[in-house]
Amino acid sequence: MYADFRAPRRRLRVTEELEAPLPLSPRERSHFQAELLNQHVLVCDPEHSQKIHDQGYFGKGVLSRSRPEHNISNQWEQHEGVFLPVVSQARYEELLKWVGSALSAQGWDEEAVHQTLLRLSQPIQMEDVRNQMGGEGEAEENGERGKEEPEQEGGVSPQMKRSRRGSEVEPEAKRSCSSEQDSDSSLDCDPDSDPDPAPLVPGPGFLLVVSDSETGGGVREVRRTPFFLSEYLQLSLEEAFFLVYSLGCLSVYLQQEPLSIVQLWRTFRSLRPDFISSYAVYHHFRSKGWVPKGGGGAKYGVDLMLYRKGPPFYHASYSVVIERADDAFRASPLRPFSWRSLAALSRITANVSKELMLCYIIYPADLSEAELDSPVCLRRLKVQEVIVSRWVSSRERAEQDDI
Amino acid sequence: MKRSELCSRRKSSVGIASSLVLPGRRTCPQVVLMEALSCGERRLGSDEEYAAPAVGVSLCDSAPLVWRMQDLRAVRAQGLVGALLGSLPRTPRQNGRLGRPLLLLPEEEGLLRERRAAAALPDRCQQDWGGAELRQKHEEEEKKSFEEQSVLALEDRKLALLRAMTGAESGATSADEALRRRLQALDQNFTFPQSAMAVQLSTARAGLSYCPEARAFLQAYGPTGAEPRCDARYQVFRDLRGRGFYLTSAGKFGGDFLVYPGDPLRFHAHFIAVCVSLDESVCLLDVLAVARLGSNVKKTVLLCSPGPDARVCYTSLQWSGMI
Repeated sequence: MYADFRAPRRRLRVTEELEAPLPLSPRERSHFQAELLNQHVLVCDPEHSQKIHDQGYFGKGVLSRSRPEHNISNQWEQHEGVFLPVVSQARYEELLKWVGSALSAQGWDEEAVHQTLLRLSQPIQMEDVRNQMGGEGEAEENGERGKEEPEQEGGVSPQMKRSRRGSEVEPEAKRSCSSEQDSDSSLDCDPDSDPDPAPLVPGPGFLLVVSDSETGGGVREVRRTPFFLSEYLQLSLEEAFFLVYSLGCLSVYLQQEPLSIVQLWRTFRSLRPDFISSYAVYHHFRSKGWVPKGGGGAKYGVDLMLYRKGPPFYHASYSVVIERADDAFRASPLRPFSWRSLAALSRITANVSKELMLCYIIYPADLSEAELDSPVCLRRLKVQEVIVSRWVSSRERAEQDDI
Repeated sequence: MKRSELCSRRKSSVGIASSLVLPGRRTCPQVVLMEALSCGERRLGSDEEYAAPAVGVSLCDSAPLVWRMQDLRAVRAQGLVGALLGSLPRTPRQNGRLGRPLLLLPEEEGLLRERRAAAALPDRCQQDWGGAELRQKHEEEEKKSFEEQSVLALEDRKLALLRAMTGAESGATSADEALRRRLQALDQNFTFPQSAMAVQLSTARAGLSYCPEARAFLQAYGPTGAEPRCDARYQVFRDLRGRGFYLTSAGKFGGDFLVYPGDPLRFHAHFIAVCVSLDESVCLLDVLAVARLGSNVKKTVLLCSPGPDARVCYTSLQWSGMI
């Protein structure tokens, strides 16, 4: 019996454009590099992480909700011809305190820490800013002009991402003017506000501190950015293995040594006992064209969410629970359901307009441990999808028949 | 929505009231509702309440059912809600309002037994209710009713046909011929299907009272107190009932009990109680799902675990939103 297919629901506000996912052909092979650190796979290079995320929505920024976009502030303002991020006085002092505690943790004595903080919080003149920018002016200008033509790798956005250093996103910087969310929207003001050559975005290291409204009424001062945090793209184990094994465009390094496919398989199996089942499900849905996202499933009590084309475009269509079974559907399940828990899960899935799918990976009985030790065993596994929906008796009532 | 608003919202369903209409007496629904409510509001005071005449519980394959009106009232007076199962004879094809019997939760039955307020009626009493002759009488009555109904149905159809034919064409003589022919055909070919027959149940005489054997049994043996059950659900049920909450089953919400601050006819549920024993391991995704469901239906989820010293430990879950 086959279930009805319900079309995915489009999101109300779509602000991104869909790029083609990572190619399979070896000719255009781009090679990315990732590291296995503390049981996580991280892509450190910002260009690589941006490409990996944009072409297929793999991974998640460690400090962000989806793509790795960080900013020390959500608001950027133009100040004497230069675009700078804006933070409040309280936030700036908090950042300085973090620097102090980080330096003391590294063993610096109090006096040295104090001196460093004093030096860091000196007011900066705009000439210094411009001088520093002069060095990188060439690159920035090219980037700025490039933003008008979207073919050039999205114009300023890679530049902005490179120059941005992040901290945790905090909604403290609340201003009377509308807060600007992204680099995209902050770029929008650019052409409107300035008929002159577009204001240059300074390199990393400067920000605008706004004093509290009681005293100065919003006086802005330029300061040096207290510290730099670079953001990585975190890939789940299944995503990393898919990029390595199926697409062949990533290599994972463990302590500067690249791992082969079989070594990676064994490492991941040791990190997670049911890696084979979860990877088989991931591979199955990727091959069908869905974008499976693993982390967000916990919000809905499941393992995976399936998106059509990607999270920015559509709401998730299916919530997937991964189960394993043997030939006769008899093995102990990865997630044993009781009637109570299944009722709760099915009801919450219906409430958030998704469909609950149980995905069974069927292991043949004669699969030996040696076969399981390499990804070749994947071709012997079978997948069975079961959609569970809630039936409410009062909604379905047959009409009375007349004589 | 504030808690105070939740408390004062009145429920409009009067489902239980219609089932308490006693046979042979015409009462307006408001009076019956007040009757039901006054039953429900009797507080659980001292032990004298429990010494009321015992409630007879019929077991249908281990499902405890209560049939008699007085028994239903007594059960409600003790603050146990149960769930009505039967269909109402006058409005059979709906399940918005149901009638007797009342199905008790296993915890409710256990509580009644612990308070020595109920006893299970033995099976042999139910078999000796003069079943064979009653069945024969019922079948004869059914056959008679079927013949009457088929005659009436045929007349109904003829009338409808006449109305249709004379309404469509008026005055033509050929119409009369056709009419006569159609009526003849109807006479010959009409069969009244068995499935369309309306079954008449006389509720006034149904009684559902104890047979003499059952009455004798209850008088002679009386309810024997049972040992309080030691499973988690029962402990939680007893504790919450003792604090004055009314509890019903929460299968729809993926929990064990729905906890009302008062009679369910007057309040909406505040909590969904999920009973977990202390040494049971719970999958984290299950906890997340039930917490999120609770927020969606505007109820607080309570994780209840009976502790070692007969006290129950409660943890409330709230879904605070995501970053």
